[in-house]
Amino acid sequence: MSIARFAAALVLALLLAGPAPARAADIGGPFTLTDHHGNAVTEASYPGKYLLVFFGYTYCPDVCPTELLVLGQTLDFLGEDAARIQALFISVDPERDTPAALAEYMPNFHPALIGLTGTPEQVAKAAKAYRVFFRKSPKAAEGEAYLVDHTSLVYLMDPEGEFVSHFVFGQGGETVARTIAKVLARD
Amino acid sequence: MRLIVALLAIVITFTLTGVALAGDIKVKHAWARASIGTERPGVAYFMIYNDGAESDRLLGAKTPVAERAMVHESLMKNGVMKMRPAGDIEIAPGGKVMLEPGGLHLMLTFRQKKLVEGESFPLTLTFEQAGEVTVDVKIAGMAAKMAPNGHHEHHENHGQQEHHQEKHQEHHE
Repeated sequence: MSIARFAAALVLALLLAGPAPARAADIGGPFTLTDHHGNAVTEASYPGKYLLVFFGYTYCPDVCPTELLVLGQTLDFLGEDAARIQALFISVDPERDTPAALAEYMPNFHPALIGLTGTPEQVAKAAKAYRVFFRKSPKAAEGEAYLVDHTSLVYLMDPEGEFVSHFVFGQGGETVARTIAKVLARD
Repeated sequence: MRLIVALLAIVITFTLTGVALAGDIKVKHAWARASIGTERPGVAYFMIYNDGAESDRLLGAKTPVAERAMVHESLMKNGVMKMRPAGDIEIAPGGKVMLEPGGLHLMLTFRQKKLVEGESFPLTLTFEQAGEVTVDVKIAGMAAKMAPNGHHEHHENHGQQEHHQEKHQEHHE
């Protein structure tokens, strides 16, 4: 094998493995939150399921609806396999995203998506577990609704709570579903 | 009479094709996402084409559905998404600028009206050279990713694709 071919194979292997934003073991962990139906939940509330976790907020006009659409499409592309996945949208804006606000918002995207929120402390703990950064961004005008800068990666966790992979914003539902299907097929 | 018929034909043509024109600037496929109530910021997207030989700039936007309409850009750095005012938008001669999900978008705040799927609203864009261009913005569902009439010009989408790739690379560093 020539050096060029070896290099190409190495690059391909790295691409297939996917980039790790931090050590895999660092991503994920326990959380206590409230779902959009008003039920108290933890990371153990979805036994046997892979979790697809995305952090955002319902006042986010551009990116969050786009990514929630991708998550919905991912579940649709997965077909029967979607039953092995629970997609979670965790709010980084507990001040405005009450369970009632999430209940009004979530069904617009996919019936299987679950929105989670909590006290500011609960949300901060969940975000820290997932290495998610969030911060209110400066307002453009007085009285304007604030925006929140936030990590916009989607995390795939296995049923044991171990980090499997992450997806970056801009990947389509079909691409995400194909990667997940491969993971499910190995299991 | 002939002139009136001709003018009418032109008006009908532009209405049917959903293209608003002012000189060399064309604005196409304007759409917005439906909203819950009026408190949350709304969002609208469109494409601007500059067929002229001179560069032009989008200076501002106004609409009866919101007190404030401002072009923002979603920028990803190290996996963190931030939205910031994009300032004036330059459209190069012969070039185009796409406002679409995950990139440039028109944020509608201090909204006066709930945005209901299936309805539409007028949006007036002010350009430095072309002056005012008014378009009809079609309201799609909250989870929409493209204009409700399916006008997603994918084959013309290369610029945005590259843009996305840049964002990804930024994250991979």
